[in-house]
Amino acid sequence: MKIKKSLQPARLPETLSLLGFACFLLYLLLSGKDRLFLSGKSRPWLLFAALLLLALAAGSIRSLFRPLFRPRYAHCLVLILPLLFFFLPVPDLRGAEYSGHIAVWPAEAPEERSLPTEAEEERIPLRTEAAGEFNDGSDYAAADPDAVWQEKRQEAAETETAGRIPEDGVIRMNSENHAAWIRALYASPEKFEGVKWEELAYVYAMAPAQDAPAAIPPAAEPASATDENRFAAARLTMICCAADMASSGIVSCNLTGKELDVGKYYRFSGELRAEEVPFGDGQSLGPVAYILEAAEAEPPEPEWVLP
Amino acid sequence: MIPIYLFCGFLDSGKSTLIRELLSAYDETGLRPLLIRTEFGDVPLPETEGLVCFDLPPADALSANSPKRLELAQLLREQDFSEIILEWNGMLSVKEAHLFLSELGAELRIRKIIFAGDEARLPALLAAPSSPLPGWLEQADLAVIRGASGNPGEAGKRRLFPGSSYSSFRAVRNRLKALRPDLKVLSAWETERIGNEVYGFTTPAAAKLFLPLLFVALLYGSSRLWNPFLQDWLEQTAFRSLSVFLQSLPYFLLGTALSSAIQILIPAGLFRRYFPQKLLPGLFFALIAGLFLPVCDCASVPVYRGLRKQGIPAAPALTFLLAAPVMNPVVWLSTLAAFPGQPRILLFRVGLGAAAALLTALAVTLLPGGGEMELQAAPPAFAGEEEYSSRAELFLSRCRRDFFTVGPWLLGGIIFSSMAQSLIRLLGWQPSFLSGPTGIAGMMGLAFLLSLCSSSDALVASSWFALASPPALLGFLLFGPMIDLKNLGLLRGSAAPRFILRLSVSCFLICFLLVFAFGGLL
Repeated sequence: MKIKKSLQPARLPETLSLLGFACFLLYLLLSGKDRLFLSGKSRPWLLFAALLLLALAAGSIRSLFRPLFRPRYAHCLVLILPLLFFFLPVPDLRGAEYSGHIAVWPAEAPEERSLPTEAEEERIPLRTEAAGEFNDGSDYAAADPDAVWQEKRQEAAETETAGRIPEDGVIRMNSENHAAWIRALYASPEKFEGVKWEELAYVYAMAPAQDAPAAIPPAAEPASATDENRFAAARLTMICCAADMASSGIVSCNLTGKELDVGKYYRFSGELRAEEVPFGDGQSLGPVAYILEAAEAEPPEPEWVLP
Repeated sequence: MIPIYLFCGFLDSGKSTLIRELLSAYDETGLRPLLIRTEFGDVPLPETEGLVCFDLPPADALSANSPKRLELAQLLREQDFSEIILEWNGMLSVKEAHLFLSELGAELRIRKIIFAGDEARLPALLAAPSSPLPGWLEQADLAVIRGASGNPGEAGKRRLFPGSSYSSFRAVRNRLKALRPDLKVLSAWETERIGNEVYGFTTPAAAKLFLPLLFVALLYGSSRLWNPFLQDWLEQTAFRSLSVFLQSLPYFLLGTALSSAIQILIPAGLFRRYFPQKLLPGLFFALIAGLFLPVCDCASVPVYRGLRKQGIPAAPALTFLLAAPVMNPVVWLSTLAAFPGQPRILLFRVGLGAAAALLTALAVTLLPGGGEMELQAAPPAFAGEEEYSSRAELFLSRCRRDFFTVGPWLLGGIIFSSMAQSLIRLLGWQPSFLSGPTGIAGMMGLAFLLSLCSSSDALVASSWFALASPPALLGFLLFGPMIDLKNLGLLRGSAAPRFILRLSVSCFLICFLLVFAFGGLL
């Protein structure tokens, strides 16, 4: 006695939801939109999930022809709901309302970070413009000088992000080096006393700008009156996924005289000092940026950085 | 379209009595039911007004061309019936019932499947190989259990001590619930509730899919109109939920696939053959097995049940149950991925997990009063799985089933977690409330409520990094995989409530003390 094989429409939602979500994952990967939700290291796992879902969908094709006596659809919500979430607007996660501590990185405690040693720093080649040679004495005449120069500058630039003050004395933080600089600045803030600093960042958790100091205080005497107008010049940082996004940045003191809007992006420039800043459950010596200029700017693309 | 109420169950399980009682309420309703009986017991036919009764021997029910079948088809063509009540022989399968109905040629739809069982004989039938019982239980809307000693009455209902009728009913109910958590199980004396369940309103399956979607759409749509805060909250919750879901999905799928592969590919008797019977080697073996076997918490409960049934001592079996979800290789991978550059979190999780599993198992089984638990038969194979021609097909089927069974718990946990996170951020609460002993206990409680899959809970925990201290997160990572709401449901089919309570409380206290003592070293 055999049951006639015919397509059972009641089984379709399960197969379609598996297939649909697999296609959704592939679309995210191909369009690069997965970076809206996940850090890049999750891409192979996402591809794995897409392929496995495709396999499950393929495996369910034969069951489409098996009689279903008790139709169930609600279980498909496990894939349909997340799919619908995708179509909702991306919210503002800058957390401007959130006045908690500034996250640096959970990946490493500050005391574990280290700057390049003196010996390592000495190995970084710098071009002596006048003499046309590298300060490490390497022989570039045997090769294309420009190529060697570019290679060595690239190497030096990578080292710069680990905390070496650039030649022109201005630390320029951007999406690529934000994380490395934050680590370096919080590891040894005293090394960057008086160094100029620039970054496109947003205003995070700012107190009202009143009783602002008129000028940058001397390095040895941190300003006590600046607590009320301190804020963080911050960038959003994604550790694994958008849900663990946290603001990371530098405690700053607005000396520009103009009011800054919480949550808005500005191109800041100023000078760094080493002072007590909130960290974890208490205070710790950290960098403080005294902002001398703040020009309103559009949010960077992408808006968040990776540690 | 004629609705069919299908009553199934073995001979002398109470089907006819149940039908007779239900039909007694048909008088003066104007309904004209057709009762088809494929089994004939001693219970006299109901004397319901307008009732037409048709007796069909099982052999005729299975033969499309038998004279009785043709007679029945003609009866259906010639007369109008409001509904059909089909008393189906329990030895015949669901598939055969469906075939029988589909070949009648009329517009017939099964509205409800009611399984009738006898509490004295059901446990043996559940354990019997090749029984059609699992198929019926999988399809049934309602199971009605007849007590061995008849109707216990209201006084009996309240007697919960062992040996009473109600406690034996509860035992049978728990075993059925372990197989189908959403199955409604009633005692045969609850006639009014049975009537309501059989004839009451049933939410259509499609509505169960669309109503939640409609609710979310309406909530979000209305929030845009009148409550920007609610809108922010919903958008942040949705965004975070999707993000965490995407992050968890690969690990969850991997865990499901590995669990399915183990259940299908490893022979059932392998564990028993190699599991040491002495306490210390047994505990050691259980830990090693937990360390290397990629079974998540959803799979470890069935394995534990199988181990106990095969005579493995309680302490090693419990050690495996608690250790496997927190120590297995998939957990290693996901924990490392969630906390990059922090191998100490993984080491603490695995090390303290092993210690907590051992101590809890010993505390529960060796301390006075512990040890004995109410075991039940291993879950039978799912109905229909025998039809799969290859192991690969069976594997994919089991993967799909596990994914859709446990997936909603995962998504629910993620949404709940995201709602809480978004609320905390929007309200600007200080994160320090999740530190210290309160934070540890709070995060352990959260892990219990969220019931996340152990293969992906680390990623959810990592999203709380800014809001919880490392020891609190460790409490989340340690306790959640061992005991959570989802596990309790699964365990409920294997053990008495007192045992589960003892296990949960012991595990909570031991995990808390371990994290409190050693979490500060993180």
